[in-house]
Amino acid sequence: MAKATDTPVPSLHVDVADIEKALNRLWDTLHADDEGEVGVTRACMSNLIIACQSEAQAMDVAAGIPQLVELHPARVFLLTELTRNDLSIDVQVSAHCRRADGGKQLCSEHVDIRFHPERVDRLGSVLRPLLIGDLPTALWWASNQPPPASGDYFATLADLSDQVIYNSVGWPNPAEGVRLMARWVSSEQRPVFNLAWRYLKPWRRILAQVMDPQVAPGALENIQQITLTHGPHALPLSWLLVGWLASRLGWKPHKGKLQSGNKAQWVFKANGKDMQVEIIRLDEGSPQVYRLEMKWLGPNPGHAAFVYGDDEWLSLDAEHSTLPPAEIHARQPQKEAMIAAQLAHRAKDRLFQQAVGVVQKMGDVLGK
Amino acid sequence: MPEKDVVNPLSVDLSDPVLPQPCTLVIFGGAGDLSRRKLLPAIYNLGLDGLLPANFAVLGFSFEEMSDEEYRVFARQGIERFSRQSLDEEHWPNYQRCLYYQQGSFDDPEAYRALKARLDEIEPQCGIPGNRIFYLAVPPRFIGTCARHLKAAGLVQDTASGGPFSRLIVEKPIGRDLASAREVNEVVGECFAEDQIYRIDHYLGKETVQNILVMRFGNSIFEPLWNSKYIDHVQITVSEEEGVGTRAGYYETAGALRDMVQNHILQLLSLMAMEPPWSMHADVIRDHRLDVLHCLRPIKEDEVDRHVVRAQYDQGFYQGEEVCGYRREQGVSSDSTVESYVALRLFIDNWRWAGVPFYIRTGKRMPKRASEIAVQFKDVPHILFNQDSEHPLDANVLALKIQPDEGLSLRIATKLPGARVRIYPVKMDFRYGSTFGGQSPEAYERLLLDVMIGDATLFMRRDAVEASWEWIQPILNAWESGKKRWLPEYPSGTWGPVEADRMIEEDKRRWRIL
Repeated sequence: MAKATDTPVPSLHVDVADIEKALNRLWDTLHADDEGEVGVTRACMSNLIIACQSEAQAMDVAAGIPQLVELHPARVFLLTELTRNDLSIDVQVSAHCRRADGGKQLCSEHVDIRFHPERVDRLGSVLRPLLIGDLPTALWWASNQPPPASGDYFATLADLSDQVIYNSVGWPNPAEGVRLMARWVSSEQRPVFNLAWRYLKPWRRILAQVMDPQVAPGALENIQQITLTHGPHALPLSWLLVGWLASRLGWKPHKGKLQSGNKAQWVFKANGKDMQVEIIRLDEGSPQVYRLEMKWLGPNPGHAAFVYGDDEWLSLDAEHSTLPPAEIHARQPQKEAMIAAQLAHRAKDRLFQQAVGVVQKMGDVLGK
Repeated sequence: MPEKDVVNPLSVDLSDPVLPQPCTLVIFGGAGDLSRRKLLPAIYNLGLDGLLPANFAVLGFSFEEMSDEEYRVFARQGIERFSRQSLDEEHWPNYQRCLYYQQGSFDDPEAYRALKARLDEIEPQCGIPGNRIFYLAVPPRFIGTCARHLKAAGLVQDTASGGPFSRLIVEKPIGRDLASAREVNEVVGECFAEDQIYRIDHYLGKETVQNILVMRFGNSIFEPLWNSKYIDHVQITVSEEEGVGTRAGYYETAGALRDMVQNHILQLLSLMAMEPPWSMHADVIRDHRLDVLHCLRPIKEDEVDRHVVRAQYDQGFYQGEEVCGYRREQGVSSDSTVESYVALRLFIDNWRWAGVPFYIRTGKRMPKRASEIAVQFKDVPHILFNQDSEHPLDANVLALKIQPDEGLSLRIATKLPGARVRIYPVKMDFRYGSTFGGQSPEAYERLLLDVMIGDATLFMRRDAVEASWEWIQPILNAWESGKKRWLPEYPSGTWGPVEADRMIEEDKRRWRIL
């Protein structure tokens, strides 16, 4: 395996018209520097466009790019929208290199593009000739605004892409963002992916395994009540988790109301019966789902409480569960690792789409 | 698919088609080398990646005296030394909680009753509804014994009962000839149904091996060429740079033909040569692999010397150091006629492969560790660029590399830059390590997860094991009746004996230099 060490390659300022030439020169330089060694390889599985809306955001993303391209080699375009007096488009090119076993240098290209919001209409013409043919193009929307709320900037980049990746965790107005995004996702033909879905993977795994009819017979079809507790900025995660459960188990959102600033309740229709869902936001903590409690009736009534602990284990709270103990390792992957994993999944995720469909309806019935 | 399809809408996930069900993995030989080097690290990695069932336990079972606590130390040492991912101190306490140990002798019925009692005690604590996987990491002579005792102790659930599952993983070798393989299969088959038995060949868990099917049937450019009309011949090489080392005891009873050809290499061959399956269902794939084995042209006993070369390594050099010959290795008889190298020429008598020779070679103390399948295409016609019969163009070669650098390469002819037309072979190279980032899971990780899920695609079925022995048996018979006192030799650190070179050169072909 390649080593994680990243060899810095100095970045070069170039004109927009010279980006491809500058990248070629960069390769010539790398090959020349490697003279007598075992060679330099351009590693590239995708074109990756990353969209940021501030310098701070871009710096944060840029710090993770070496790790990202180690996991998923790509030609990276890091776009930053900057409000400043200068209307010119500022470009720098560089590469991220590392040594693989055998000494071979593996390099991925990195193009930094900074532009004034008034230049958004030119982005397509800058990027289109630089996209490597025969490889998929993905847009990672790194901004903390819901994509459809960002107008032409998002629309232009989405048009160039085969896949859109966004992260709903941390949106400033999550309830509105979730509704907006759910509408957009349901009308979208290309694969669209929310990183929140990946954050929820350990939750989906443990629920699927612990609530399996072999372990908890009769529980899934008789769930009566769910209470979910999450940290700040994790409302979209909670909605999506409930959306997934509802879509898999055939629950239909019937009505919902905001109880207070930090609590919302829904009634779902399940098998002709009412089912209560309550989502509570904690004032402190990190943006994740902390606890999910459920009660079920039927021939084998019981209850279970799933807890996400500081030790990154997701487990059943034995004191509040009628089920035998269970736990899985739920290490939160780094953002870059999740992006890399998502870039490799190029098909639409039907389960995600269905969960988002329910989320949209949850938004629609809220206040009814 | 699992024996019993449980209706659980939450278990459907596009990225993980089926979730593993809660289960206990009982490792027979749990305190042994395979367990320490491969199995416990594989389980640890699955846990670290969040892929194990939420309710899961490992119970090591061996004759060594050991407490649960000591077994956890044993596992930790194995993981620290051999795991793909380094040991995570934060994760360790949770992982080790699911490790247990039970001392017992493989041939003692009482030990199995104690094992059952221990499982009945552990499983409710861990929320495991009685699903059990028994991994026989034991010497071959104990396979039948373990299976019988498991059955007698009531540890094997009937597949048709619809209750918890019982699955058995059996390590190779299955027998040492056709008769003993049938015997082992018979005994195991009396205790477990065929769909409960997973005969493991770790080669089939390697990425490149799985990629053979994807490459052949996921690309439209290869399959039309994958036949005798376009392919000149195929070479399969599995070379090792090390000698017998500490495995002399086993190796003296096996040799290269039994150790590598009967299982790993014939499995590779069947994947490479099979007809397109009509589904990815385990038994469809396995049926198609079996068809290839049935089409192998039998080598009659009096033809063995023509088509098979066996040899032993002689003294020579390994990484600049002088090393001894096979007969001088510790644990090897000084008059041993066990082969450390074997080369074969074989044919697959079906429409697709009519007349295409397959050359196979495997051996120890060769220049490097390498496994590959190389498909050499036919020469271009002797016109235009291939008129010089003394310097023919290099043929196109598609090489599937299985280890150590998994990937594939294609050799093609190109024009050298310049005014004249000069042709030079270049290699287009794809390597997993440099194309895809991240680490590939180890073969055992993939295979253990498959057993938990109940997917037998990458495991050998009884009929395939016996078909491969059936084809091998005349070679063993010929060697047995030949009673040779000396085998050809090759210096350690070389690609094999001259006899093997002569065999392929008779056909106007050459072994590849890897």
